[in-house]
Amino acid sequence: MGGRAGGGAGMGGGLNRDTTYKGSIKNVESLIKMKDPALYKATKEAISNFAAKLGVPERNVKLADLSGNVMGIGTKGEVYLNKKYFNKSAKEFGKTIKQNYDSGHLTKTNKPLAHVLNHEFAHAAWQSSHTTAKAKAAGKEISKLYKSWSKSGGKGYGKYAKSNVDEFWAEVSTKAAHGKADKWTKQAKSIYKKFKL
Amino acid sequence: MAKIELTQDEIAVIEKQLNGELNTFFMEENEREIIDGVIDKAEALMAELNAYDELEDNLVKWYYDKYKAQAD
Repeated sequence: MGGRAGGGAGMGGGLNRDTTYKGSIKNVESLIKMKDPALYKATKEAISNFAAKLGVPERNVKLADLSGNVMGIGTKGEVYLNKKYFNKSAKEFGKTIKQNYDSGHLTKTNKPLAHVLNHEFAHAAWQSSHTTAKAKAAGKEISKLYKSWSKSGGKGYGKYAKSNVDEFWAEVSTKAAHGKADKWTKQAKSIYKKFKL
Repeated sequence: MAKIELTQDEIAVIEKQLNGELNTFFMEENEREIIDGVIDKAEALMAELNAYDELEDNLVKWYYDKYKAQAD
């Protein structure tokens, strides 16, 4: 989201850049410090839901001051959410997500607030910039999935998912956690399981 | 294939997107409209050329590379 600092070409914004983020991580705090209890509650639910729906361990998520306009980063098993955004109110988040849904920019789900979190957790789980053997192996299958999905017309997803494989992965993962299941979400889930992302 | 035309605003947003400087959720409304418009055009050209083998992992980059190639 905020551009992924150093995420490489085409990564418009996700967490993780565990291998590429060059900015700082300062003033790390527990999520309980979030300014809006409603956003805190939604975040906690999103963490549990993402793990349950995708069959992955719960992420250790914290707040931090991050450089630039990144929404968050994932590194060494932890996810840091940028206070610049996550100290906004749930109402502001809701308004922004609605605009993104109404314009067709993002994939509609039944949990708009959780959408932001799940999108970021997906970037933390896998991005094309990841260099581990596991990430590279998963990347081959995710890349194939992105191409097949693109060729199919990408119906049922927001436009931004088409921009590159990282945004596709973040959106198909989000839909798998909170949206209507389809053949792409099913394949995404199997990739999470196969590679233990 | 018709010549790809891009405005200065479109080029600026494409470069921002490729540099990872666009915030997926909180980008400016005009930036969102521009990048989504570029994605629409890129997708249409990809389908017209049936060039999915060239897609690699980035539709926007593919489209921008096509634009730059014709400008050379």
